[in-house]
Amino acid sequence: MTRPKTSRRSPDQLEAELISELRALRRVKRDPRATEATYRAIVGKPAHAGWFRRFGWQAGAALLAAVLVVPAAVDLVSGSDPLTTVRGTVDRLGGKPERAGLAPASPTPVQAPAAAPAPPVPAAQIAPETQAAPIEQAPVTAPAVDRQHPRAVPDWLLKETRSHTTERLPRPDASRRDD
Amino acid sequence: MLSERQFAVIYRKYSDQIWRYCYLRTNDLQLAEDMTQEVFTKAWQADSFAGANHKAYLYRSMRNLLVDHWRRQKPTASLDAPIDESGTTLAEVIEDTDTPTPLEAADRKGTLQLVAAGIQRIPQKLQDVLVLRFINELTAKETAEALGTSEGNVRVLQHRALKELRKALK
Repeated sequence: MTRPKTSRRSPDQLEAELISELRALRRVKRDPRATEATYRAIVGKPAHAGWFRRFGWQAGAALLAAVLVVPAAVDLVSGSDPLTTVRGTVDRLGGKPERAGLAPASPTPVQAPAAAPAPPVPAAQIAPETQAAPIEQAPVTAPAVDRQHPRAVPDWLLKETRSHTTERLPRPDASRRDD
Repeated sequence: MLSERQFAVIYRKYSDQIWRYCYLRTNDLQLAEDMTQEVFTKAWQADSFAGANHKAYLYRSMRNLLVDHWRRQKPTASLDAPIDESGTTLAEVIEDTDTPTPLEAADRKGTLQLVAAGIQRIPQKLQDVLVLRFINELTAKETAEALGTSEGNVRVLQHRALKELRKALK
């Protein structure tokens, strides 16, 4: 009569299984809210505050670059005045361009504080060499505005456009308009 | 002295494993949380922590706290029964196992609970070695530093601890 074979495991196998069971106890998990609350109790601030401090300024710098530097760089490449764009952006954001070391885009006239008017000095008392010579003002004439192209458009572009529009496209026939 | 940022990094790295070590040795969620807080508060306030081996320092602190705790109070709790105020058992804090059915998951959790209960039936020092070496996966050297003993002694204790645990689980 033969006994049924039983699968006997070696001590090494048993030990390996036991260690595997012990390792599975790594699954014992702490509540993340408790982790955070304990940190706050120790330091007095949320755990992510340090991380925010670390990366916050970098995010701020990236945002500033995106808002100010990149459009200005594009202007520089395209030939426009980058400072105009920067001033405009600062204005739109509600900031003060003067703080950033920039002159305001549209400076408002500063009114001098009201002071008592100085008594007029008779012309006879002023030495003739210090008297201001009358300034001859040249008549200022506004440049003619092209109604079709109110913005300043380079001449070469105008020529190109005209050559395309006037030469290639047929002009509408005035006689057929009434139809 | 560490900056708050450096401390936050250390806290994130070690606080969960320090908590797990304490929880598996006390079977009390709230006590484990309190003791973890005490260990990290002492570290945060101590000038010597900045220049120390952080991991070894934290484990040693926790072990000293546990020793004080056991001196005050004899361990009588079993991991089968909850002893903390929330009534949470170990099975509830085991993260979902990768088993396909709920029945198998429950079975697996039951096995883990038995193993955890077995750990609590063996001598204190052997418990420490099992939790540190096999659950928190510290090296023999790190375990020796945490327990204030030699690496050779850790290997001897480790062998004895596995033998005792096997006996406790029979």
